[in-house]
Amino acid sequence: MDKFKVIIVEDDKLELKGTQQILQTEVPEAEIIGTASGETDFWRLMREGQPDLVLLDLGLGGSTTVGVDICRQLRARYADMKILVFTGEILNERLWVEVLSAGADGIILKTGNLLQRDDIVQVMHGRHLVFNEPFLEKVMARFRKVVCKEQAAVDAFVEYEIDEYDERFLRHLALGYTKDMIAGLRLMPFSTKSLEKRQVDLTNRLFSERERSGVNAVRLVVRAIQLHIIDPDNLVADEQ
Amino acid sequence: MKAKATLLSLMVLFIACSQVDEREEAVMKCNDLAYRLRYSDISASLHAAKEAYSCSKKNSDGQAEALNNMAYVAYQQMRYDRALRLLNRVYGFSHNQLELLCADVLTMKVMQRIGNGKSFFDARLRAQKRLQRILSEEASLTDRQKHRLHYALTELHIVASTYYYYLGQDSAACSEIQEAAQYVNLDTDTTQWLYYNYMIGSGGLVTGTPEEVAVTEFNHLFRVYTLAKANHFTYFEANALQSLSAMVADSLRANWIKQQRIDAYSYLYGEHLQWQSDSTLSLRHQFAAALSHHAVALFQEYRDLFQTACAKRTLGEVYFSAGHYDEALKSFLSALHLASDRKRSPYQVIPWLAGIHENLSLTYSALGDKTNADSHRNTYLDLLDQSRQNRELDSRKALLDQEAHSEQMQFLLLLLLAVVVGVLSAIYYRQLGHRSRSFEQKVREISSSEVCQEAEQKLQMLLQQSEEQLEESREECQVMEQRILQQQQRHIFGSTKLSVVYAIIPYLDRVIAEVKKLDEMGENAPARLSYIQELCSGMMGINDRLTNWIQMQQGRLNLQVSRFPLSDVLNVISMQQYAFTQKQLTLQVPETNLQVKADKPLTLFMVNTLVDNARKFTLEGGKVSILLDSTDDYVEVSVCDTGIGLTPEDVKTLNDSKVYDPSHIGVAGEEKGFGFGIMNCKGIINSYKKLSSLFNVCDFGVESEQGKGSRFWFRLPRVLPLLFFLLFNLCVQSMPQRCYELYDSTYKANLDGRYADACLFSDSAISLTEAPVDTPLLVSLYNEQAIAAQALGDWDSYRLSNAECVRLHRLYSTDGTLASDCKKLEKMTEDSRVLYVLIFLLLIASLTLFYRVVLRHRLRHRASLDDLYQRLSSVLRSFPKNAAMMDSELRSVARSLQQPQLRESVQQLRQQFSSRLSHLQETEVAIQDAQEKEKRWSFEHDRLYVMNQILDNSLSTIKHETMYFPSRIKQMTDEMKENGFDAETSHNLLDLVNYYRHIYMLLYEQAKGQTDQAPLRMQAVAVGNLFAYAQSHGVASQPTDAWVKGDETLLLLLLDQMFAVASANATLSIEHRGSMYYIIYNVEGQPLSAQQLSELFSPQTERLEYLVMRQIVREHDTACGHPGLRLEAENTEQGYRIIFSLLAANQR
Repeated sequence: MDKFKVIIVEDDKLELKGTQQILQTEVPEAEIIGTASGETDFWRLMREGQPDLVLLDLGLGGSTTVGVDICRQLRARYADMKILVFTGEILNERLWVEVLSAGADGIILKTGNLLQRDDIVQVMHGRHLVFNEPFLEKVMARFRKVVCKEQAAVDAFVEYEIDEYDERFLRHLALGYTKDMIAGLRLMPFSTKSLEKRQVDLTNRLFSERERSGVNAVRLVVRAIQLHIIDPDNLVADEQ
Repeated sequence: MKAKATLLSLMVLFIACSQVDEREEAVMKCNDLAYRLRYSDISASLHAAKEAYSCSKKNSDGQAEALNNMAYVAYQQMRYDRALRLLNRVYGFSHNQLELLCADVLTMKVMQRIGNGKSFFDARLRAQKRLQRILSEEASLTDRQKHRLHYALTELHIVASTYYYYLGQDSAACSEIQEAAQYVNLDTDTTQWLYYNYMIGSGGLVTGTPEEVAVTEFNHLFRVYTLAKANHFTYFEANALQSLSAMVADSLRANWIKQQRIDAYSYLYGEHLQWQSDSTLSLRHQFAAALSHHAVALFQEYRDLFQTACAKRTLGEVYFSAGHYDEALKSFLSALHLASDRKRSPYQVIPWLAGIHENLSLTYSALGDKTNADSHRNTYLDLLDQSRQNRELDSRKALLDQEAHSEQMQFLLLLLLAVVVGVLSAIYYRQLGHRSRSFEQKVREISSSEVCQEAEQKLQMLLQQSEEQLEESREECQVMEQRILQQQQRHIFGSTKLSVVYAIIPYLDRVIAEVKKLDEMGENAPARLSYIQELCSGMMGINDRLTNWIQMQQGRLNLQVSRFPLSDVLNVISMQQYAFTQKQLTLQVPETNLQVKADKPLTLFMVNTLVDNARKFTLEGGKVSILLDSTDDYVEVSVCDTGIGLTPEDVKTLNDSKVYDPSHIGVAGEEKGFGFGIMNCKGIINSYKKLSSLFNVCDFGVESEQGKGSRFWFRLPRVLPLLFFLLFNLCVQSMPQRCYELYDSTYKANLDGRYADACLFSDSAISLTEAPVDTPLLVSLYNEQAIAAQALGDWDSYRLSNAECVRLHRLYSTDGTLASDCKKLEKMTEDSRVLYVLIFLLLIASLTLFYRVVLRHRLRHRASLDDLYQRLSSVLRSFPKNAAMMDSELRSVARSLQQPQLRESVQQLRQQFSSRLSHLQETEVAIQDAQEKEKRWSFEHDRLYVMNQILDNSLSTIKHETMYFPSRIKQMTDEMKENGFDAETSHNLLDLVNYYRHIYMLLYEQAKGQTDQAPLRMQAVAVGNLFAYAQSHGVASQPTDAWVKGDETLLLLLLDQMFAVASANATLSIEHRGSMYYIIYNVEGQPLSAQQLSELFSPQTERLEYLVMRQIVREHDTACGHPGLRLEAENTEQGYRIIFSLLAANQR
């Protein structure tokens, strides 16, 4: 790897010292041309000389989002500049999304093994989405959750023997349709009466014998949502 | 005695052989004998009366007199039921008003003694009526009858005087005894003269200086004693002795008498030398005891049980005042035994019994027997309560007197009415022509009529009341708002501290990374070690600041301790039934009247947490129940479930460890994770213990068996309900909290035997309470004070407190029974009623005639107008019950009218009311709103409060549990620096740091759970308001009409922080850039140093205020969805400025 210039943006002196040590000991190719503890400092440094890599902390001074702003402006002005976020915001997931949208090349969380030579090398070789292990673990946990939910929906269809009419019926119930209205749908070739039967039948399938008494349409729909049979994020009526 | 008996038998013989006239004379003589002997030999008197009865003709006057005499004897023997039976027979057959009068008087005597005030007054009323009749025919009476009449009259007044005397109405008693004076005569009737003089001597009926009173009374008694002794009137002799004994026992009075009547005093002393028995007493007390002993002996001879008991009581009092409590107790007990012999009579001499129980209570406490003293005191109070009905009768008596007066007025009234009818008819006839017009006028002027004015006044009053209520509710709201504000501030301070706590974590992560790398690269070790040490210093610095900030607040009392019934909390819990039935579980909540002293919102939180946990870990079909167990000191609340249970290790962890990972608790394989609930509950119990030794009984614990269920319990100090209040069934409503607490302390002090403290507490409580609003509390306080004084043997203050207690109790118990008394009054005066009815009939008859002949057709015309008027006035009169419909009612009346003028005036009336009515309704709606608001805010306050409490607890745990780690790490690195690198130490160091981070994260998350639950109340805020607030703090600002999105409370708090940092020479201004407003706080003065600037909003900052600012801005940023709100500080030419940005909002 060739030599390159770095600016470190970090407001905590002790942490800055640690980061500098990491770079000095593990990435000897890096030349630290300046360090900034805030926005003003940083832009002053930028006027003095352009770095190849900016190691950016997100929360600076009184605000958590200064880093995001810096990142956005940097990306707008210097499309090729490498920006690696190195942050202690290990709980604020929303901030990660923001800074990635603002054009950061990767996020290294200040936990676990912290910043490693490998991370810097990858970014300098032009890779996007460089993350360290703690970050990936968190992303995986979320990913797993979503996948499991989708699987649960599939399982529920099988286990409770849900057909497309059941799904359509429940979905429209959730949207506030009356049974008369549902019976009038193009893809629902049933009378109101048989829809009532279907509702009773669904109740019997989705609830155990002891739970069944007093289950109304609302309770039924809520149960369907709990079992992932219908997706509350994706509630759309059929086109007529 | 024997002579008398012989005389009697001779007379019987004589009667048997005599003719009718002679026979009557003999009966008369027997009766006279019975009368004369009643005060000297009771059995002979009875014998004579019986003879008279058996010889007299059936239903004759002689027989009535004999029955009266027999009844008198029964009265003396305490056979009150028998006496009343005998008297009833007299009422049954006799028409002799004189004998009936005597029977009435005797009934009064019986009723007076058994404390039945109602019947007493009934009899008195009868007697007074009879007297009037008898006196009107006084001239036709024989000498013997006159004599009997005088006897009845003296007796009547004396018994009334006695009655009033015992009731404490001294003036009435005096006037009655003065009435009696005119009828007594030493020559014609010695016994009544003695009776009269004894009454005066026995106390309370003489006026003057205490010394004069004592001497006068003594004179009377001495006179009675000598005369009675000479004439063998045992009864009066004994009575006089008894009263004299009481007098001698009083040292002050005895001295006065010695000074002024040394002759009589020494005569008596000489006479009673033989009776003196107890040489351990002082001379004066020996003398007093001798008098009492003599009185007892005489009464026993005379066989009057009640008076014997009285004399024994006097004897007891003498011993008591001499300090011989054992003897006193003996006498009191034997007196009580005599008087309460139930076999003799179903009636009890209640006022007297109350007195003897008080004596006993005092004596027992003087002897140190607290249990008996208390039990007698309770009986005493019960009896007082029973006899309180007398008070009711006072008012009734006043009414009866009035009634007697009004009878005299009846004739006048009759005349007056006749005249009125005549005049009215004339006037009516003359004005007939004007009537219709005047009625029309009346309807037209109804808006200025009295009915209307009354309705208006009511309306005005209602308006005023509701305005006041509204004002009150609003004030309460404001109070609540203030309290919420405080909690919000507390919360933001808590969150700020938590953010400082969080600031350690990056350092810790760095330490961990560095320690790991120590293994890999040996040559850089020294640099790494010193970096680790720097990090440790940094952490210690943060820890120190944090500790300072936490300690700053510890001085304040944060728990809201109050006494409350546990049912308040349990009722809220039982509302969760639905959630339980949904899971096929049963929730059992007990009913209770136990009260505890604790923090109410926190207690609710604890029970709720435990119940929630139980629900989570109990399988379908299971049961969750709350159980209560109490001792004198504490109440134990348990939440039991039939759930999956816990392993013994888990139970041990929960019970013993301060910090643990809750996600490791629970049965392996099953759903794990207890959350921080149990840790929080334990924290709360610990904070109680820290607060005061009162909470030493507080405790928390877990018992569980795997597969069977668990029991989580905690203990809170118990408080007892106010016992004395229950005793009297008095209802206590609002009461100043402070007095209430002082009463508690008094009561508790008395229970614990700290009587001096009790006196102190009750004194200060009494000085705080204001009668009559808090009469029940005062009664209780005086009672407690009396108990304490009694136990301390301080008889003077006992007497004062007890007298005050009894007086207030009577005062409070007087209730308005006037209505029922009026009813009785109507019943009783049927005679006069007939007269009234006649008058009315006459009136009606003449009016009917008048109407039929002259007025009918004109009246009919007027009737419609009248009807209209009535309708209007009934609408007005029924105000405010019909407030909601008034407007529509008036409208329908207006519509039904034909004449436009009338309709107009009704419309006018309607307008007069409608605007204010609607205002009233609006106010009521506003009141409801305010009340609801207050309720909601109180709920929110409690929620915030609980969160803050737990947050504080968690912060304090973090402080305690993790403080030592950084220095420990530092120490280990020091060792490594000295001894060189070695793998084992490095490994240990890594373990330590990892453990530190684990614990730290755990505790941080526990606290974080509390801050996440309090969302901001975002709304459009006028910056003008913020600036006005700044102006009021002396910070200049420019006018602005900008609106921003934010939580106004927090923004004001943000300004507060700025002012706290610097407020002299500061200005506020605002700038608009894009979608943001930048609020700039300009401070003229010393600019900030570079270091200050860079650390201003970091955990290294000098002042917490800067971090609070940062926290508020960050929370706004989060609440707005991270638009990138800023908080910055920079130097200017004249000083420095702090800038923060907010999102612009649309004007509200």
